[in-house]
Amino acid sequence: MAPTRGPRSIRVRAYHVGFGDCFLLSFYYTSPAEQASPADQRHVLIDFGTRKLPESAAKGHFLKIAQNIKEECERGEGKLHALVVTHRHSDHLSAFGDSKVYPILKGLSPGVVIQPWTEDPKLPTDATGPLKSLTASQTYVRYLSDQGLLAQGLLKEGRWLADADAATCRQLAFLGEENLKNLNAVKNLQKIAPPEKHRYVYYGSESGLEEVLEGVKTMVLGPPTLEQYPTLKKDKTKCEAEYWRLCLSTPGRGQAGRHQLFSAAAARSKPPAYARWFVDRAKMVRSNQLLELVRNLDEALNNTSVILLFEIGDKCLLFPGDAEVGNWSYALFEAVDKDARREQLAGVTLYKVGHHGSMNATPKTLWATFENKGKKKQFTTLMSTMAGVYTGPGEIPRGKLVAELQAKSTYITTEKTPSGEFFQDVIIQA
Amino acid sequence: MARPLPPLTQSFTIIAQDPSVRYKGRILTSEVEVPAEKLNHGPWGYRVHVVDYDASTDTFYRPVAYKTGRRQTIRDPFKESSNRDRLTDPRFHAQNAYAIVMRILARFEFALGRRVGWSFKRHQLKIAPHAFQDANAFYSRQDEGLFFGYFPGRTGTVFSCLSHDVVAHETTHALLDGLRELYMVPSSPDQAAFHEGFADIVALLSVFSLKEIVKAGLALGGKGERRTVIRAPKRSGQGTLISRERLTIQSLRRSVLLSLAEQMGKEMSVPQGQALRQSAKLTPSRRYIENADFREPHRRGEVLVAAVLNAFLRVWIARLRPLGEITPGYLSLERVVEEGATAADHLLTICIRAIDYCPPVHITFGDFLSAVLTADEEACPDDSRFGYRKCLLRSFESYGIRPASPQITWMRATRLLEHERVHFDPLKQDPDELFHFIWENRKALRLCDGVFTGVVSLRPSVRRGPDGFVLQETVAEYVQIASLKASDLRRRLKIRPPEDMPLDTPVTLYGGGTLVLDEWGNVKYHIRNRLDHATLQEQRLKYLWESGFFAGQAAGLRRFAQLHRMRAVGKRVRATEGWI
Repeated sequence: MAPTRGPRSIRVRAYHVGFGDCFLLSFYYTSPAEQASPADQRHVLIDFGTRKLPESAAKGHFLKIAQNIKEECERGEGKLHALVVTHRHSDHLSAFGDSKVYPILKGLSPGVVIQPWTEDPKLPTDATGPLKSLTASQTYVRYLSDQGLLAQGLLKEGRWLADADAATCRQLAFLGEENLKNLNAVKNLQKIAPPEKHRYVYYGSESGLEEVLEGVKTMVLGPPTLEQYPTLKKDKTKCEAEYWRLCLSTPGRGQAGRHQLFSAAAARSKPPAYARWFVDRAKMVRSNQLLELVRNLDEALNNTSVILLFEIGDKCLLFPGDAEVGNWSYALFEAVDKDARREQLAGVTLYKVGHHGSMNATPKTLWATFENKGKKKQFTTLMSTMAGVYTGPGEIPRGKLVAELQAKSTYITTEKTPSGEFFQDVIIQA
Repeated sequence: MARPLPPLTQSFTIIAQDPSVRYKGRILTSEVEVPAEKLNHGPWGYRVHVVDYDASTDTFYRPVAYKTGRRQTIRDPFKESSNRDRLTDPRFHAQNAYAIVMRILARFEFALGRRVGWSFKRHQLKIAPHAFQDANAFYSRQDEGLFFGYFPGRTGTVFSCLSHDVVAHETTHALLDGLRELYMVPSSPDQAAFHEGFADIVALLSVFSLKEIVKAGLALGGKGERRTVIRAPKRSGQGTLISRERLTIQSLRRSVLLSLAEQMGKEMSVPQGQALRQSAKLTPSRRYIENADFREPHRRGEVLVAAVLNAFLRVWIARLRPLGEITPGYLSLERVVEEGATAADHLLTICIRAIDYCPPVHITFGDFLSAVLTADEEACPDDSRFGYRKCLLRSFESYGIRPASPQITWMRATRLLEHERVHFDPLKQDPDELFHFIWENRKALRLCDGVFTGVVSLRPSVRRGPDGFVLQETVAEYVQIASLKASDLRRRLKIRPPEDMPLDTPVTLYGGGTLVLDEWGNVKYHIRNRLDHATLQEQRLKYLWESGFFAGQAAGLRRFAQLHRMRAVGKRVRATEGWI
């Protein structure tokens, strides 16, 4: 039975998944929350994945989290009212590819499954027709879909480049693996609920949460569609897709020693001594090039993140996934109603820190918009991260960002999950 | 009996444009003359070393082996090969890249009258003709080489090392870097664009010396144009004729000769079928320079290319006017091509020589225009016949580019400098002695006090003067560098940092000048950009701040690699956004 008014409190449970995201939002429509009847509870899961589990995690860590989610849902109506998967990176959805975890989550019969518009299976990701006949959005989706394959190829190449440039190749491996297609998880997500329960959202669209969260106003602030984004010209997108097609399609990518180009002219021995200095340089050039390619892929997928804003009375919760500046730019600078959005953002009381605290996911303009920062009791920041996993330039979490969060908010990080525990709760009274 | 002198040049077959440009069904090839040398396997010469390693498949290809014949000449092993064999033999690809690089190098040395060095310490530029699988090719100073990628096209693999334009373009980057190494430092939109535009100018104008190719290019016409070449009446003895209709600026702009990298463009562009760049088609407008879309270096560089190419077309057309018609409405194709080659050759020489008259850092298109006009006036004071300088000035102005010098050409130095403590001969050869001279005259030269100052280069420049005598000048560059925090800018140099730049941001400022010394060691020209010029430095800082340089967006030693990819994917960053 539907509650007749808004929730009285919200509990945000941040599971310690290492380098990844997994949040269970529980909305309680009576006070105190412990006494809420099953009909007075709503549960929303936002992401469930990791790139690297915490050191302390025992075998079956994900299973334990899944069971905890199930228990929480069973206190209510025995189901997950909504599932949000912000984007396709493994650190946000790997759990859905796990053969033991997935059945549990599927068993919770999500009432609505929310994903970015780029995941809509109706958009052909394997179209073979000429690019000219595809719309800009279809082309973009195909480009995103190709990226997993590209990442795979690039990773293979990285293997023989490592002797010349190990540090770059380590970064390459990290980012490349994150961008692998996660095919199982993606397929399982499509099957986790009947098609009519899936919502593929974009800036300004209905989220689908209105149907299950009474008294909660939700707003989708990203990602924008190509049609919405005036600065992302359609032709440019096609150029970009075409560029990636060229990168992708040479047979023999990642196949050392198969000499696909001119096998008869290939030397059978190692390069002669006089050429070795330059061969090493060429390997370094290539590894840097691959890293740049993978970074581009990574950024493109991050920028498909669903950005969700929940308004409950005077409380405002912001969950931006891994959105980077390209995604945020639309809501902050380009949208027709950007002033109204900025006004909403000004009132944020809980901010899930974007992209595990990396350097490019909390734009200054966004941070400047939060009017509650500096009032620690009214402003909470929540970060799910793990130091030492990412080895590239610019550490994650970024020290400067963490210092700012600590100074201007009640800062909670999954890294500080008490020993023996596997989650932390933030309670918000509406 | 005296031993005969060995030849100074040797010839190699190259693909004159790229494999996609064909005439009567055949790929256009040409035999080009390059400086003769005792080549090692590779080809591996005294300035260029081809190392054919493919990092995408971890494959090293066996180098071309050369035999030295009588009179110490090298026989081109691919002279008699079919085009099919050439396309499928990586050793031909290696030789093709080598020959084009050497040809462009020789062209620079001819224009400047001296050896032109690379910007790194070693003598040989390395070339990787099949460096990786990527629709990219670039010069990397750090790696002392040119890297050419390959990628799958619709009708087979596209090799960037087989594109004359691409190889010439990348070679020019390397040569320009050797002549003005500070043009790679972050500066204004013009400086980044200048590298790209200048490389395109050299690539396009250098094709005109391949007369057979120009003939074929003219015969091919532009897209959608009808055939305009006919056979001359036998009695005229003129061979092939070309219609005057074909020889208008509008028609020539569309020519394949003025399009850059046809094959790569066709494969990468959407809609397909276009060359990578067709700058000559850019309609004159004064608005490009201020237009935000023309801030991307390649795009902005096109404005410079358009200005030079349209000046070239005007001169070419002017040179054709006096030619008599063989039959009504038709000119001798041979003569048309000759006039084109002469005009292109002269313009190319002016453009290359102008580099000696450019400031060492922070070049703008206006600086280049003043340098071009000064360089040509020095070499050919009488411009009345074909009006090269007038055409250049008009063409540049039609694209909104005004000369940097208020007098159009650079003003001659008039200030008397002190020579008492320096010696004449070392001043022209020894950077320490030149620095001594600068130091003694630092007030007269109005150098910024209290910052690092150093001599970057000291080079002789030899050319024939207007009176027919050989003229020896000396071109020297000095640089001034200040590294400081944004907070110190106002206090120390009266420069305002960009509004929202954090005051602890480290900032490096550059300034410097080019001193052109006459044959007596007197300063003839002092072309400079002062380090403490507050207005210009503020503009540069604002541009760099807004384009994300300080957030690490534009940094990186392999700048051209990154730049080319950013352009290929049409990527732009939100300029003013930063992260906490």
